[in-house]
Amino acid sequence: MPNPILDRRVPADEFARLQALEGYHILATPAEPAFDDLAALAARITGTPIALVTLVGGDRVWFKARVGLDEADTSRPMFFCARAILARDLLVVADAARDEQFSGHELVAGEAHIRFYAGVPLVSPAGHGLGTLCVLDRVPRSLTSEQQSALTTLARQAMHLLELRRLQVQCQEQEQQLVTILDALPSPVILVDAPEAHIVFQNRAAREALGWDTNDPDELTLFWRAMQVLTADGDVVPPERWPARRALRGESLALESLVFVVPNGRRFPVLSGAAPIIDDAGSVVGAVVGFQNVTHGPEMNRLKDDFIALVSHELRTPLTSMRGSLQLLMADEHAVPNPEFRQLVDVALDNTNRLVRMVNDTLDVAQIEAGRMPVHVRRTALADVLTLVINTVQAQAGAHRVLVEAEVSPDLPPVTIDVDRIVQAISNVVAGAIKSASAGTTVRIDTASSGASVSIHVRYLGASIPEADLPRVFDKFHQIGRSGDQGTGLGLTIAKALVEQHGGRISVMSQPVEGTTFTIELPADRQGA
Amino acid sequence: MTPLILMAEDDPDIQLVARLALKRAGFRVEAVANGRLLLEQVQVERPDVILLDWMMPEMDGPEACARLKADPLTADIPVIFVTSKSQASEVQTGRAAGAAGHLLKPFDALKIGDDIRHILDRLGKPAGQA
Repeated sequence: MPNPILDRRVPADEFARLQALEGYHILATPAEPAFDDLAALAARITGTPIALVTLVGGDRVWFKARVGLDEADTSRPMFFCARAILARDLLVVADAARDEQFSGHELVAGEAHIRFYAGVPLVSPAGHGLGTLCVLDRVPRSLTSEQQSALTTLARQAMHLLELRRLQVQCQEQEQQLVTILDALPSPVILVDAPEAHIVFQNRAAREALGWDTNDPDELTLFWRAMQVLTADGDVVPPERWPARRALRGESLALESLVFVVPNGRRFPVLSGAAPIIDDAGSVVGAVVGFQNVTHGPEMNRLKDDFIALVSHELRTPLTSMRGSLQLLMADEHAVPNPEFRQLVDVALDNTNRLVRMVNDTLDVAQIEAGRMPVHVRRTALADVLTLVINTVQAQAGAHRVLVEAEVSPDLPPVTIDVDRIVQAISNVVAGAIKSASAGTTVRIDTASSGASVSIHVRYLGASIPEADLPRVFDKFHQIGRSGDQGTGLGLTIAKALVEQHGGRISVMSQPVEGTTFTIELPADRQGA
Repeated sequence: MTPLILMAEDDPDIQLVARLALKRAGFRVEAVANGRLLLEQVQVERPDVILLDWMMPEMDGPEACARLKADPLTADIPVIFVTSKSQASEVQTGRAAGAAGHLLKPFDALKIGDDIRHILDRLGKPAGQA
């Protein structure tokens, strides 16, 4: 049969329409029961032998679902559906053989012998006609208005189905993306669902860390049932107190030290944190647990200490010539006679000295932590130690208009210590007190002995330390208040480390009215006392 | 007689500063850039005290110290390390090599003379005031 008119008209939004259709990832995909059911229902309702869910591609029209027809697709030009999406409305062709717009199409002119067509376009939420739900027959016929209306309803259902399917594909893609991201993370991450904390997913790092390479839910459940979690001190943590369970109760957990004991008995220390996953309605639907195997922590610490030692050492060489030059310039009044220039040299010297202190403190911390601080102990009376402390801090006290007074109880037993180091420790504490004490007040140092230890108390009045900050006072680079003083933030860290190196302890109490008291306890030397 | 210090220090800036600081403190100063040159110089004029940097090219401080101590002609010259090496093991190495003391860099240019005199006094070899 001749093709008098080859209708190649396309919708005005053709390009966007085809892009949108791509986004459904549905062209040339296998049949799916949900679409087949809709087609079967359409055929049943209209009493036609053939029903299709079609998708209009660039050149071809694909049959996503088909009842009563063998072809899986057909050419687009002159096909009913291409016209139906142009019209954006129900298209009924009573006898295609008599309509030269369609009579030349292969399904009409060929063996399929299609004569009747009724199709409703599937219009996406964005307004693109993607395809149709249509019914066909090999003889001319018509539909009742009820049948037409039912076909329209079914077409809407087909469109809903397409939309759901698209969202599902999108979800799967996002899930795959999430899995890829999580698997690429170097840190172990575990996802659990509410309320029973079943493991939904463990990323690659988690599977490796736990030595259990599966994401099969049943196996995971068995594995975690056999897991044990201990506190850093070795006490068993009951499952209801595990990070995942606590997060499912809405808690967000900061990193805490735990020990994981995996079913084969292997145990390793971890830092673990967790957070609840909360849906739009505010309910906890799951939790994320992260952990880090910290077995290799000591190795990292050693590398860090070596690095600090190296850097500090390298800094000392230029500092030596800088400080020496400036000191010698300032020592000779005739070297820099201009008072303003002397002031400038003085500024340079002050700041060089500050840099020297920072380098020394940093290196001290690294050495103490690495256990490489030189120590030369001898039996000493605390009174002598405190005299040296007072000498050390006197100038600083004067600059801050603070008095420092020490009172040593007469019956104090001697201590066996590295005098330089303990003077350094106590001086650091007193120096911190001087900086925080109110001007015109007195920093008091007194002593006491009880049983096996002697204590040195350093008391001052000034801005108190907030209770929440007390545990962090001895942390590296923690500065009490913001005095703007040129501290290194390491003084108390060093004091604590030195005192602990001597088998002692350091603590702090702070009250707004009574003031702040640092207490250093050292083991008493009772031998021959 | 003004006491003579022989110093081995490879950093020229530190050498200059130390030289000026020690001169100011009343010492005469001879300075060389490494341990090998120091062993040569010590033959030229016998110093009252030797200051040694730790890390130097050609011959480092500990080796120079050991050689000085091994030679009966130089064994009783006090050796003091002036170095940034302050770890326990290094101080011990220095002592084991026969060093009389260990001064830490950055040294105090206004105090280094007193520190050296203090060490010499302790050894019973007072270097006297200039």
